[in-house]
Amino acid sequence: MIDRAQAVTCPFCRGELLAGERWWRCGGCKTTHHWECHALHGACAVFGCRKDETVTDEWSINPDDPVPIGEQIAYRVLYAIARGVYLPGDKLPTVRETAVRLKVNPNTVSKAFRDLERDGILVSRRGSGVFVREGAREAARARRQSLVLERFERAVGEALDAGLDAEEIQEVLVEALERAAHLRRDEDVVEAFVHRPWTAYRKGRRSAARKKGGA
Amino acid sequence: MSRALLLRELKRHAPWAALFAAVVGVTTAAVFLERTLLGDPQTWSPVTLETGYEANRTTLNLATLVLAWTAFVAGLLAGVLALAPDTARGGTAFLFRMPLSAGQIARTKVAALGAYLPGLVLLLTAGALLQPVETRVMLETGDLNRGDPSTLLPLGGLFATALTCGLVSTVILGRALPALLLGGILTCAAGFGLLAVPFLAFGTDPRGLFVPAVALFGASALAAAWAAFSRGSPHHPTFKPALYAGALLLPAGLLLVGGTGVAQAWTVRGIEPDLELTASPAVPSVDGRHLAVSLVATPWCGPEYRVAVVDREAGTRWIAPCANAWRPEFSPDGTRLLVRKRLEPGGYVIDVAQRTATEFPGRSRDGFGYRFHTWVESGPLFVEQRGQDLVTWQPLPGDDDDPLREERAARAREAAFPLPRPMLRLVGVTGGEALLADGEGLWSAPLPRRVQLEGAASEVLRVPAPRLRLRVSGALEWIETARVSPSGRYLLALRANDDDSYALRSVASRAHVFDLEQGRLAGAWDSELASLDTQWGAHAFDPDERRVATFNADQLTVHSVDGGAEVYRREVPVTTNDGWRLCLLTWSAAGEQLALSSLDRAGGGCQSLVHPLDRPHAVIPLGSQPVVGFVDAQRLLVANQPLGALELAPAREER
Amino acid sequence: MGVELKLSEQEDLRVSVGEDVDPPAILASGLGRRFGKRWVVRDLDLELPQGSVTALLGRNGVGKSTTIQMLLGLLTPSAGSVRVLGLDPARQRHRVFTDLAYVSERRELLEDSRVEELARIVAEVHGDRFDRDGFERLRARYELAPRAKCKTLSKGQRARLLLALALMAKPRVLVLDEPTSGLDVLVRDDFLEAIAHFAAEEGHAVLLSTHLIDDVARICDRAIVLRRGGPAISGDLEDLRRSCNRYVAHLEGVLPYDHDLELPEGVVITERDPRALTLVARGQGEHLEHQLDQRLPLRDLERHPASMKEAFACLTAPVPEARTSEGGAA
Repeated sequence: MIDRAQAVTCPFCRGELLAGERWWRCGGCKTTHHWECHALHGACAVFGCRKDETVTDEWSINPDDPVPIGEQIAYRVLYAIARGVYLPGDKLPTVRETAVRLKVNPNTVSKAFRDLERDGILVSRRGSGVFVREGAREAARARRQSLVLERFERAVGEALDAGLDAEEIQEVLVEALERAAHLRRDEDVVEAFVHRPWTAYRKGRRSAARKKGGA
Repeated sequence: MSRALLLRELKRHAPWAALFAAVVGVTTAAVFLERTLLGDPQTWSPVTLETGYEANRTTLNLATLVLAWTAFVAGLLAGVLALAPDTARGGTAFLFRMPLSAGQIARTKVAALGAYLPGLVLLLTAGALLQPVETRVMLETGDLNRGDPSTLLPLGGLFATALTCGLVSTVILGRALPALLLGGILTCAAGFGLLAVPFLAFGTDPRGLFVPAVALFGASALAAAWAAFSRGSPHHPTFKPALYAGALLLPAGLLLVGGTGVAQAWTVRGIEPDLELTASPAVPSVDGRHLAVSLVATPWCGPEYRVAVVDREAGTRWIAPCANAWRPEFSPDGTRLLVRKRLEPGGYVIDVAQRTATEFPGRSRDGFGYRFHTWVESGPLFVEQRGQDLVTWQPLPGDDDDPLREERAARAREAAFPLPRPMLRLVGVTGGEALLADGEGLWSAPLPRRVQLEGAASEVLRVPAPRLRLRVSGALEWIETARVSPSGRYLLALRANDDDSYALRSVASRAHVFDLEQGRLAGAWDSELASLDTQWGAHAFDPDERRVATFNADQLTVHSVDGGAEVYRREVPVTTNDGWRLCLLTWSAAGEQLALSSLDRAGGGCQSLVHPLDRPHAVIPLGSQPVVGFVDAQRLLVANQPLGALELAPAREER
Repeated sequence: MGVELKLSEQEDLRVSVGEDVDPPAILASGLGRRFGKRWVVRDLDLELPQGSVTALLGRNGVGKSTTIQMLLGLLTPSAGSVRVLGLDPARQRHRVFTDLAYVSERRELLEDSRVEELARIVAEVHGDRFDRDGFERLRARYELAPRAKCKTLSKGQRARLLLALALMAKPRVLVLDEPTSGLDVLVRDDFLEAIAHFAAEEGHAVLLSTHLIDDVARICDRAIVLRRGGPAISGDLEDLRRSCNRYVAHLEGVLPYDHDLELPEGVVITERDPRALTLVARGQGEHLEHQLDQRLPLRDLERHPASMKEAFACLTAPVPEARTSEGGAA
């Protein structure tokens, strides 16, 4: 993790990489790009380079997840918009690009984009592509926050189920916040959690199930 | 057709084509060397060794063998390699996943097989060039001439059969080497089915049958191969194509064998109008009344031989009721005629008066298998010298299909007795006695007659040696060949002056005529007579057995039997650079005319002259008609003509 | 496909989704194949709509490869009929293969040929449709030496070569039979990318037979599940997954491992502990839960949505007749 970037352009979204933004340096082509862009594409999209195994493993779609792949894609887009990777009026990668990068069915991507369009996040202009709708960032942020809070509530509920009491939960939360603040300058500590909400959800559910089963 | 695909096929075939050239080239070279360095293989070819006599009846032709081998190897390699390596390694599967129809793939593969053609042509030419290396005339040589369709058709059929068997085995096994093995086995089985089965089942001549059979079989085999290729699965080795192929080939084979048999029987039944005289001298009976001649017709199914008897007095002629028989010989009393079957064991005794034939079994694959025979009351008695044993055999009538064959054979067993003196040599048989010669003279030994004893049929019965009787004394150990006169009274023997003559063949030698009745040497004269056996027809007793005509070294001579005086001599230049010619020497019934026909070795050109003996300078030229025999003074029988008689032209004086 | 391909800037989200009136790319009805007396495939109705990526799933030996070979005309069906792009593959195999590319598990090539020769042959056979430049680019990207002989290529290289040849012949239907079995993850990625790229074109259809459920979940939108002894199940992938549920049954007391359970039909055990069972069942509702309650000493029964893997473990299970004969399959 590098915390300061020079003025370079992300080869994915062609936007400038700003100081304080999270970014990746691809091990293959040595280019630097947004973390979110990378996450969206699943791998380095630079010509002649299509791999960075670390990134791929970490950020690719997880087909084994109970969360449908379409929703996983929709979350990616949503979070990228929420983080400001794509600003209102920006053009998104095409369905085909996205499908090829994520190695998923184009119909699934198309369906995810259409869902987001229906939710008022994206707008498709026939013949030119899919764009971020005006005011989408707020909507995305709100949607994301609500999702995060929903997961968070569920996690808290499960923690209580697991026998932790409120104080312990608070302690854990405070510790986690401190640790996160230590690790990154960015204040957005929940980010790491919500970037993979499904994973967190599953982990929580598993631990809950284990406790239940063991009882 | 895709050019790149064709190129790829050619590249794939290249090493195999080289292998083919190597295999067949080495074979051809070996045969060529063997022919040129080791001499004439006909004398020690397996067929000759087994039958033990009549070397010039061998039909095994090594040039044909080379050609057949070439066609076999080429067909098999092509058939297997067109598919097998590709199938085994997935290439065929790959091709079948491209927008190519089975026909396109097959066309490309067939076109690539054309790579074999130049080599094939080269080797066929080489095989054909082996022909002139042959040094001997063979009456029954397979007529393998260059470009002859009767040769190319079976070769093509063999190629097609091998190709098909290769293809089918490929689709069954999918791997090259096992497929080559299976393909070879299949081809041999097909060849066996084509040649041996009809031969055994219908007694057909394999050479005659080969042409249409292989052509038909080859065609249906190709159809089966196509079915195997297009309908079978080229992706996985499977037996299914074999079923397709079998479904096509089995009816084709049955139709072929059955149809051929029926057609052949039909053809043979109606053969008589097509029969023509063969170029072998007519055999007169001792009383001069009858002439026995050999006839042949060559329908599609192979030559058919018949024997006809011409009654000189009545002017009638009739064909003996025995199939595929030849080489007639009259009994001394002229009432019976012995003929041999051709390419089958056994023969017939024909009653001349009744015109009926009695069948006799034989002990060889061809005729009776004995060198000498004599006549006893019940039929022929065969005699042969085997080492120091003299073996006799008197068959009982009945054919080979007789259910009592075993029993009959047991009742007519071979009897053998040891020759009481060393160095004795059987030179002839007459009147129930064997004539034996050695350094002391000419001996006769009475032969044991029919032996009826218990025991296995194959066992040779040992009998005590009979007492020898010295007929004529004299140093006769160098008798090279001998012939008994038709009546059995005289023995014409050729005695070489020294043992070199055997190798040199035509050095000075001496001819003797022994009077067997009186036990004396009737006459002798110096002669350049070569082996009487090999120059068939180059000597002839006149009808009264008072004179002997011989023809050798371009000299036609007639000697008196009694005293050996030369009564006629004339030079007839027929010798050419390419060796000796086949000569037919026949007397007219009254003995006043002598006909001499000489055929060149290929059986094509012929020169015939009739010599009236009373006019030493006269000659009647007959052009290119080989004279077989005289019916009377004015009419004669001519070979290659239907059984009839020609008017003799008036003699022409010649200087 | 890779970035080196000119990606269309045109975008329309309604492309190739759902409402297709086009005839299906592959349509088979009543398809059956018998080897001797044994029916390997029987009464199979199958449809591969245009614009879909369809997975052909099933356990080993259930007849997936046989089905594919019949669909392509490489094997003659014993019963039923097939139409590929309106053609009968058994009769017009070579015309079918102009618009259809097939990569098989065995990865056959012309072994003696070099890569460039092979490309030349394929290009010549396909004519102008074959994209030679595209093949060269793809060949370079897949690191295939043009002079390399096919027999020297590794399994992964063979698969990539076949993939490149298949794609550059510009087919409309891509049939992949276990294309990546036994290959590393990079080759798998190449195939997934290629399928995603291929499927994005209008009118294209992909039939993918594989055992890798992750790949199926990722790349396919429809699935055909062949089952031993019963009719095939086909439908939308997500629907199929939703049709299955995972039940965690907490038991009263201890259930020995060797205790023979009599489970309702179509229920598959995925995990078994003495006090808990994880079951996957197709369908849902009171009836099933009631049945489970009757047969098991249930203390508690949780229901969760099934993952793709669990769903297919359940869907591919042999149907009851076969199951009883096999003595319970899980």
